[in-house]
Amino acid sequence: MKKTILVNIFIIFLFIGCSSKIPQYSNVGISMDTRNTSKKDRLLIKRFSEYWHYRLNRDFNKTFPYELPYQRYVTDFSWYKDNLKYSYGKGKVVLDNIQYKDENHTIVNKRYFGTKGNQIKTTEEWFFVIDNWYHKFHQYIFPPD
Amino acid sequence: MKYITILLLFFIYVNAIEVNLLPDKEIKVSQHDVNRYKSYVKQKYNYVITNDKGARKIVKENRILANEFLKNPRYLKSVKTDITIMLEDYLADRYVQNMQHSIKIPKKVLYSYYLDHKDKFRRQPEVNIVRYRFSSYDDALKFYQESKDIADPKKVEAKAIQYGAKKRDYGWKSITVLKKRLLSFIKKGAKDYLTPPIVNNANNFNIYYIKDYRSVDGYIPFEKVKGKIEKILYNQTFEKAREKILERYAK
Repeated sequence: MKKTILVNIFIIFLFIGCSSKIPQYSNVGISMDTRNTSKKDRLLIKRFSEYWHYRLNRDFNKTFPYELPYQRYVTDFSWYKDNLKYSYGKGKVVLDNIQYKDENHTIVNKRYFGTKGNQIKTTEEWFFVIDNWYHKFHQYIFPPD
Repeated sequence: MKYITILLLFFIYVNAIEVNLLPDKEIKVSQHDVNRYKSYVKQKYNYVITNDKGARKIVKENRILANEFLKNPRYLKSVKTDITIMLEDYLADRYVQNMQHSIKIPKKVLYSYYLDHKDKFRRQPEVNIVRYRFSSYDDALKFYQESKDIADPKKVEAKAIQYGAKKRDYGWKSITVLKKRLLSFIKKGAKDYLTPPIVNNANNFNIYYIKDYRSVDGYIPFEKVKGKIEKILYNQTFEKAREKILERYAK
């Protein structure tokens, strides 16, 4: 009985530890110092990394759940996919820093490095909705790459 | 043979929702009629009727005039078609709305809209306001001319009573709930002044005394605006919901 409880506690700790661990991807980089960041910030960096990894690979089925819940509610997935497919080609995205507008709203500064050597500095918004961070997407008119 | 005739009659005559228009034998207006009329005006013109008596009067007048119209069979046929089209349009919208409202929007969806549109939910300034209602325009105008430079609420009140005005103290009110014609007289940050007479109807002329004005910081809490957000999202997804429902009937 005691053993089972201990194993369960170990699994829970393992899960908590992994939940905000920042994944490493070859197409996503982090230039800010993440050593003394809060748990909330680490969760944001983790979500950002996952999102951009999928986004640059054009895996829109996987990026869609990262978008703001109300945007998903009003938008058709097919429209979303068509709207984003021409923005950002293969390349790399680097997160430079996070600025808080308020406790649940951040502006993330990032750079995009295209395969043709081009570099674009952009910002994007992430919102902390109840228990997780969500990305806000925009309608792009011209593809940057 | 009998069934074939019935079927044939069905296809010949029933090609739309059937509307039966008959004159009302005794013109009566129920409280239910009044309530429905009020919600109809609110939905169509975004105007809130607070006076039941007034709403009842309009419903009754409309009913009298409609009844007179129906007595002349010459116009009935074309009117029936028009009403059928309007009714179908209305019922179709109501059906889509009912279907939409039967599925509750998750809190996360509503809250994310709130966070992304916080400026929309910024608290608006408030005014401390008193209404003086006069039954004649001349009295209202005289009162206004004599009192507009008095910046003392007690003296203003004494003067208003002298001219037979009825007082109503509203206390602090957000400027968002003020009617447009009154809102145009509100001066940012100013206090202790009168608005010119505002015609309410032929027997009522209002002058408002603005006792105070205050700016309010912060945002309206989510719980208070979630109903409003729900409405916005239902409106934004109305066409999508309609298409989705119609997909069932496409084949």
